[in-house]
Order: sequence, then structure tokens, then C-alpha cells
Amino acid sequence: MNIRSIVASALIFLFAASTSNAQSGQGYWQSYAERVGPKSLVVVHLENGRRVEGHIVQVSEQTLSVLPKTRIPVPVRQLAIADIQLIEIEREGWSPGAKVLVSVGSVFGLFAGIAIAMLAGSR
Amino acid sequence: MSSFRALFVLAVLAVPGGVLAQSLDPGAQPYRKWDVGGGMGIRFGETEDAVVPAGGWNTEVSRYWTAHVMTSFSLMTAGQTSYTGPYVVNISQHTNTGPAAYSATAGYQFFDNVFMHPYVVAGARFASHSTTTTTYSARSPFNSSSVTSPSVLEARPVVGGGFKSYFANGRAFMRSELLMAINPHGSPHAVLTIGAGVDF
Repeated sequence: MNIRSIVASALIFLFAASTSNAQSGQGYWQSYAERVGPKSLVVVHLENGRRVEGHIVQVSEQTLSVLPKTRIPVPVRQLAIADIQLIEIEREGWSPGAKVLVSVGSVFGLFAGIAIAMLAGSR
Repeated sequence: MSSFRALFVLAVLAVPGGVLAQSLDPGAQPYRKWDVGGGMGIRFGETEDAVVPAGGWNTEVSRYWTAHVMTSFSLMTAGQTSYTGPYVVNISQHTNTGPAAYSATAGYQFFDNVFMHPYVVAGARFASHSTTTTTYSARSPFNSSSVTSPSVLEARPVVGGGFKSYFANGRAFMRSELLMAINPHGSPHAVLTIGAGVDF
């Protein structure tokens, strides 16, 4: 469990404590998803052990609609609120391709810099 | 004989893709059937190799038979000269590789429809080369004579893996790959390839 999971769990616990004690587990995940809001990137952990990463599209009383974050677009998934174990908020970052490109560019730049420095030093 | 071996390896590589395409469910996950890309490779190894150059450019096209199984064909720059002995006085021998090398591989890509796919590949790399033997006279005026053999096609088994890291658009990708090739003397070479490409 990473720090985001812990923070998310703590927020949920506090939120649940501040609202009615009679509110069910379903209720606070629904409320949490509504608070996070549409278009937010989340990872939804399900009771069956599966996880779905995607953007929230819609929240209803019974279902959470998530557009999975995939390379090739796929249909929106309807997740039953009752099946949700945890919702983590993800941060949009660089794509893996951009990270590799920057890493490769940095390494080449470093080598080029060393080569230039060595050439300058040899004169 | 070398040509026969090369054709045999190509035939063997062509089989798994077709067989697995029939036995697996291709509709399980969406995938794009082709990708094309290019890049540069750097060889790390102790000895020279007539088939695997120290460095060069390459271009590759891959066909995905399922979301996971692929076959690839690559074209690489070659043209290197390798000194091969026999390391005796008055005689030198070197191989001249043709301007291009080729490879055919079959691979397996892990995960479904994500932005970074690790993969493993195995196959063979081919290049044709001729051997020139030069004999030097030990007496003045120290003339030399050279004999060049006909070109032969030679193959190296390759195995390795890498990562296909996609950009946000889901089509363009960076490919980072490490392949191991073994020459006939048993010396392994590692070839690090960095490239980019696009799915279609």
C-alpha cells in the first residue's frame, strides 16, 4: 500500500466519520467519487482483486463509470459501487515514451558533453 | 549450406506466428497489427563479428498476429571488415561483410493495451560476407597477392528483450532493446538498440 492509498483511505475514514454513521460503505465511495469529480484519473481497486485505471465519467448511486486509460480506446466500464474496495487518485504524468526519449537524450547529451570537454582539453 | 540454414531458420520463425494466431483468441484485446520503426544499435563484445557490426542503423517492421505474438524483420547497416587471422607471418585474412544485414525474429509482448509493453524475442541475424586472404612475400620487393572467396550467407542466433514505451497518442513509441548474439566461436555479443516507431 503506497502513500496515496493511505491518504485516500484516511480521507475516506474522516469523511465517513463526519457524515452519518448509518451511511454504508457504498455510500462513501459514491460520495468520494463525486467529490473527486469527472475527468479525474483514478485507480479503482475492486473486491475481486482487479484494478481499473481510468478517468471518472459518471457517478450514480449504484455504479461508477470509468473510461479505462488504455493505448487503444475501449468502451467505458461500469463498476458497481458495492464492488469497490479502494479508489486512489492518480496524477497525470509523462508518457513512458516521453520518459525514455528524455532519458536517451540526456545520456547522449552527457556523452556529447564529455567528448567535447575531452576534445577541448586535448588541444 | 549456409543459405539452406538461413532459409530453414526463416521457415521455422514463420511457423509460430501462424499457429498461435489460430489457437489464441485475437479478439480478446484490441491491438494494432503492424508497427514500423528504426533506430541505432551498438554492439558490446570482446571480438569482431562478420554478421553483427560494432554499430549501425536499422529499420524494422513487425506483424502482430495476436495482442501478444509478433514476428519481425529488420534491415541493418553493415559493411564492416573483420580480421580473422590466421595470425601467422606473411598471411592475413579478413572478412568483408555486405552493406546490409537482416534479421528475423519471433516475439512475445507482455500486457494488454497499456502504454509500456515489455517483450522478449528470439530469432536469427543474417549477413553475407566474403573472405580475403592476402599473402605477403618475405623477399624484396615484398609483393602481395590476395584471393577473395565467394560470398557466403552466415547466421547468428539472437535472443533478447526490451520495452516498447508509447507516447500519449498511443501510436508512436520508443523501443529500447538488448539482444544477445553468439558467433561460431561461442563469443557472445550484446547489442543495445534504441529506436522509435509507430503502430498502424
